[in-house]
Amino acid sequence: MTYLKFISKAFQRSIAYKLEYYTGLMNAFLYIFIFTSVWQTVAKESPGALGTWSGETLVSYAILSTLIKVSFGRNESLLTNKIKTGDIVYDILKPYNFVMMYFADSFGVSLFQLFARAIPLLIFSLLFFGVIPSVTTISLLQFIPVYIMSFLLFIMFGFMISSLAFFFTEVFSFMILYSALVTLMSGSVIPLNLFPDYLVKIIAWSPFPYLYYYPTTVLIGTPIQMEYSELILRYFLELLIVGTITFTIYFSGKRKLEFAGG
Amino acid sequence: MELTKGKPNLLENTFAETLYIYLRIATASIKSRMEYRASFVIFLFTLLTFYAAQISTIGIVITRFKTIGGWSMGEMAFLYSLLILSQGIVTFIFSGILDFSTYVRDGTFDRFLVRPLSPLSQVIMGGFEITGFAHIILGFLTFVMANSLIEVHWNFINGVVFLAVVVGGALILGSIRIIIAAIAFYAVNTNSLVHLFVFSSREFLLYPLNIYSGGLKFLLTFIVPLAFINFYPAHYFLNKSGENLFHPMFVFGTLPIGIVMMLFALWFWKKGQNAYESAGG
Amino acid sequence: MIEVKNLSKHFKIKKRKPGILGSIVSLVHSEVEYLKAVDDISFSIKPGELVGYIGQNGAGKSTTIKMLTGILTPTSGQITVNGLDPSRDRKFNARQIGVVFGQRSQLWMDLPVEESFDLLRSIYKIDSKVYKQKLDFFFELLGLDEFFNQQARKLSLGQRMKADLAASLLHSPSVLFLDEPTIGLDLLVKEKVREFIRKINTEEKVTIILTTHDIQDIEFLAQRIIIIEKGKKEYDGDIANFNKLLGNDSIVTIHFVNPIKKLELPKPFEIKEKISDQQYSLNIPDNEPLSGLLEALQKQGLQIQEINRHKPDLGFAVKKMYAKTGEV
Repeated sequence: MTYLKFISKAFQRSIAYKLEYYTGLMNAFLYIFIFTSVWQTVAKESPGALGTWSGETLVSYAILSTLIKVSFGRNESLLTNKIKTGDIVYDILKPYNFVMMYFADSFGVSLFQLFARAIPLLIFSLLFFGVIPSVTTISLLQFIPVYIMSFLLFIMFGFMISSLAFFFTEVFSFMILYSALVTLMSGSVIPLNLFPDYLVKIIAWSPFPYLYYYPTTVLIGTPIQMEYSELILRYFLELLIVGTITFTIYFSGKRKLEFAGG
Repeated sequence: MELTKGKPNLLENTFAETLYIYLRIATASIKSRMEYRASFVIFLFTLLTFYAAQISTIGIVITRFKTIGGWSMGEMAFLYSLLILSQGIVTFIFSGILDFSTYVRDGTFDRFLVRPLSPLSQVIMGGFEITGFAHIILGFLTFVMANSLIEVHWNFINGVVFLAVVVGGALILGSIRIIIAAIAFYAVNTNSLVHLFVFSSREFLLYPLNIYSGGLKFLLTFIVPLAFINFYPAHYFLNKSGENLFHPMFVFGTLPIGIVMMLFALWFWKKGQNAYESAGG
Repeated sequence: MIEVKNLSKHFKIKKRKPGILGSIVSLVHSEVEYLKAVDDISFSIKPGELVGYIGQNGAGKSTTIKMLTGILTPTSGQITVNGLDPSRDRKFNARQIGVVFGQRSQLWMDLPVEESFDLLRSIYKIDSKVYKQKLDFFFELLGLDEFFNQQARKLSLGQRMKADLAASLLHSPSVLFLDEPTIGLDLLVKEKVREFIRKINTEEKVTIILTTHDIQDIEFLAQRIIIIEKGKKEYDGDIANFNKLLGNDSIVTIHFVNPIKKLELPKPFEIKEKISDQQYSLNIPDNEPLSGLLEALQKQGLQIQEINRHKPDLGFAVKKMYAKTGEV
């Protein structure tokens, strides 16, 4: 099947860049290192401020959220470059669904990153930091659907921003803006319940905590403010909302292209 | 009409003339970048937003935990300002060099080789980035904020030392960029390497070095001396005790180390260029 | 002027195996193989010559040019350009040569052409009076003034090539290297560019090395050609001699009144190409009179509508030569 081939191609492409592989690994490890150091330090110095966390659980959080982040992969320039150069018309003409192709490609990249980055990093972190994350079978089972949906959310965000290339020449600024929001609000290394209250309220309304905060907390079994079933429902809602926005942008952009003649 | 058969001028440009030429190339590149950025202001704004998000992360941690490694919020702000000020200079001058592997791949570098100028200078001068000023403004703001939170004793000497530290830090960061770029002479795709060494490694410097393990402290002091950009010199200004320093003189190491690293980077570049000329890239 | 002695260039190439398994293996290890891109080439070029440097892709053409311009250092052998070693005296040499890479402009893309030229004026220390005179020259011959104030990025390919040509001559180089100068240009612009190059060579006595895939460029401009194949020099001399050597003949095209299924020809005439049932092109040795052909055709009762005779087609001869060396 064509889409299987796309996945395989994306996987191979990721391997081809040897240097990129090793440095990507180093990069992720770096972030884990920094934050585990920070957490260990503050846990020692100000244990009273930890709230429901402990030094170990914070470190687990940092490691696992980074692993999740690392396992999400996509080819960011794929869509934007194609739109910029106009090559996308060729893809639309081809006998496959472009959107599915994009998802398949992202899936391939992520598959690679899951095995080639996340798992080695996990092993390394376990050995290096000696922290056993409090993952139980139940939490793992609960984690899997949440993880899949977070991944879909991640892909859609990428697709949404890239589709803006239909309308704007410089999408780079949007990517930076998105990066900034993710850094702050997705809980990528700092668990969101450590944030000051007013911020937590704002963030809870955004889709970003669904990327890293909720999956990680589900995985390590820390209590969140809601039932698991409610979380799943919210995920569906987020996917619906983000998905609608994403595909609206994409399809109106595509239509714009067809009218303008590319 | 005749093409006057002038003779090629084989005299080397004087130093002043060369400087003038480079200045013109630099101005030309700045002008063209500003034209190219469709909405320059929006880009600047988004850049600042990104940095705001980055600082907020630290800010949140420190608001809650009061100190990190014994450094208070004001001290952390000072640490950050040193980093960002050096960063601003480097972004301003050494941005073009980040694209170097592209130049090698698409033949632009060959074009540089056929001109009677130093190719490295052409790469650098052609890549001035005015958004470096955004960093400088950010650095200045955090510097002011730091000073409002903590007591720093300012006099003429301290001012000079401060300048020396910022320049030294810029030299350290700049030389790293040159070294990474020179690797493009040997390997094809260095984008991830650039990302790692140029951007990600800075993350370490957002926090005081003493929170890291001994091995990392060693790495950031003796192998890739990034800690000299802000951590060590900060001890001097903040009158911090020297228990985390390997040696009290380290607080003054920034400029000398920057100079040494830059010399090394230039040597390494020359080597890489020679390798390119024999291997063809 | 340009002396090349026993020039050689060897490259190391990494080999990668295909497929998923191969790419995983190559993460840790790859095989290395040696490529002799240029293999013991020698020639010398006198001032004022216009030499066509011909070779297939990968034959070593651009490698030689890169060594001549100082971009690559030779593995062995010697090059001197006006007494200078291009790779050792790179910056010095750069002042006396001009280079046009067909695929890559030397202009600053975001600046108006005028500013690029002005920058070059500073870089090459061109006297302002000489500079002005050159500009007038280029304005007249290339129509440069029409787009002189435009951003280089916005120029058409033809305009950009003209600008690059002019830019390469600003500092009065004694040698000009042209690498694919007419690639992608439309017919009218090509002709203009060729005429300009010829004028520069014949009137201003600039020595020119021209590499191109366009055989017509060579036929129009070059007196002498050097052919390189698989890193070795296969031919070095003038074009007429080359044609003779390869038995490249004149071409005669004949339009017959009536279509002919099969055309029989006596020696030494042979069919080069059957364009249609009524139109044939034939090879005939350069000095051979046509009378024998006409007699033969008349004997077969064939009526001729029109008959033309052309110079030998250089491209045909070159192809023939590639075929020969390919067999070796």
